[in-house]
Amino acid sequence: MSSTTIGLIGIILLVALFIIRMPIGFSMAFVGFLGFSFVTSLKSGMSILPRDLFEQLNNYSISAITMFILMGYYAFSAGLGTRLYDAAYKIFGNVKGGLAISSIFACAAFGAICGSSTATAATMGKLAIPAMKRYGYNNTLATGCIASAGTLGILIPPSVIFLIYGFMTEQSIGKLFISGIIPGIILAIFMSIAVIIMCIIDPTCGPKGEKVAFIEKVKAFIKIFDVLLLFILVIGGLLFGFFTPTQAGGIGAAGALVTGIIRRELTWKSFIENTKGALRTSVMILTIIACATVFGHFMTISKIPFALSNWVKSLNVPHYMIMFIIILIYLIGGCFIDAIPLIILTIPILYPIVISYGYDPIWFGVIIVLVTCMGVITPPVGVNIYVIKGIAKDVPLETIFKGIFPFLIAIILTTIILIFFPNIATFLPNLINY
Amino acid sequence: MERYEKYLRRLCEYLEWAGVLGILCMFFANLIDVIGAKFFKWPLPGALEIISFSQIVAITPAIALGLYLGTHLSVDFIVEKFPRVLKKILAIFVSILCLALAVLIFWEGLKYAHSLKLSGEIGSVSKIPFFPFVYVFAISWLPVILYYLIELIKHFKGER
Repeated sequence: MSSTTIGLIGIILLVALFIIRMPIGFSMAFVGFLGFSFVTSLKSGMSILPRDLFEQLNNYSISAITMFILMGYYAFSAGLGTRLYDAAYKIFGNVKGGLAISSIFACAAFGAICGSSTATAATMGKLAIPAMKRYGYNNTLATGCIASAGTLGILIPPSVIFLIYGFMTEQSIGKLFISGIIPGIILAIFMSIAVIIMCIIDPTCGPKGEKVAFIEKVKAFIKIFDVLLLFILVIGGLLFGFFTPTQAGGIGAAGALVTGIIRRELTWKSFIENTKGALRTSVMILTIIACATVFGHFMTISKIPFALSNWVKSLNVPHYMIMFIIILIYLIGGCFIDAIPLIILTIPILYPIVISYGYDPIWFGVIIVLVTCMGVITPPVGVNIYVIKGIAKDVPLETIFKGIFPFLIAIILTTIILIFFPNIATFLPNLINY
Repeated sequence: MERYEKYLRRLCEYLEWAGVLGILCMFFANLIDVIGAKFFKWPLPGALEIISFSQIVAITPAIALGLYLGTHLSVDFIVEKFPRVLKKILAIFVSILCLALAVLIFWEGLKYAHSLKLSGEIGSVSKIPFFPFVYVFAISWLPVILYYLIELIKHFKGER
């Protein structure tokens, strides 16, 4: 049996283990170990298993993920989300659908200090959904809007998905981070347009909020100055080579912590709870990454990525068709597997194909994040939907799923624009010369 | 069996506290290194190794509690549609596979730690030996083994 055939059998076995509910990380380590042992020897397989896991968990680069997760949790406990929502509400609240638009921009701003879509959706959901209900907003718009806008958390830097992608493809984290800024703003605008269209079709779904005096708007804006400062410190420091990604995450976490202490929002209890929360999320992500290394080794010796790359090239189909198929793989895959394991699993296999066609790896990173955005809001796995369901317990799941569709179209449109105008993603990173 | 499960869960919760200490150690080592390097021209010697080793202390002891909390991702919605008997058979099968994997990582991890102890491998800057952290890594899989053992016994006793 050729090593490529063994590799294919390994992939089928992996999918079978996913289906029977074996934890994703453990499935990858198990199949990786079996496959590696089969191709080389049982002794090599047994020896590589603990080494791969230990070396990956002992990797300094990967600690950036832990630090940025910690930053997001501390930003939440420091009440930064509340002030961002308050400012956005005072600025946009007085137009039709204004509360929903405020929530979208508050999510975008919270995304600038938190790298997780679920954390962004949870933080803003707790603030925005009760407010929208109070003003008689339609449940479909209120829940769908927050579930979808939460995805801005992974597009606007810092982003855990960009970190994982950068770590796996050895791309500059700083360049990846800033490549998400313009697409993030475009997506926020498209989502706001979706809200406006929904309110034009059905004016009762998003009534106007209270009118706020100009001075109040200015005051609310001043109150979020610390968030802006934190963003500039972390992303600026990273971009200009002042910090490594791990240092930037650590400084961001410290900044959020200090803000919480100064503003008396942070308590000892919330500090401990959020540290535990960050640890649990890090354990979940890092276990998958470490286990995927074993599977990645198996894939490498089975030569699957190279065989697949050669096969795709031999098809002689246009570039954009290949890109369309890859996006489709992520879209369909995202419906069944969570975004992070899907990326960790597929990047080593699909990335060589994308690069062999001359696509920009930074641009592809943004595309990956955008398809991840679709994955986290599409049924049946759509994690953001369940986060919002946990907050709005009285709203049926079907209502939330119905509510995400206009926003899903906004994400698809942003992706299409990025495919045809890749410079939107690569313009900012190309300004940096390192 | 419930008593043992309670003990194990408590052990996992204690281990999570070790993880909390680990993540805080990562955070403070990082902070001391940045502030020291940027403002006092004195970066923390061996900061990279300290952070990496702390990550082992943070992540591996907390893996077992994730099993109780359900934070380890899996594809749930397909199995949910299966009949009860098939679900049970599959759960037993998955527990056996996970148990085998955890035993393998634990045992091979111990062997790897022992080999590092004998070779005397240390961090290039911090001079901290590697082997205690590999032991931490390997021993952290022990509660995972116990978790799946209890799961299997409960399945066979009909408690699940």
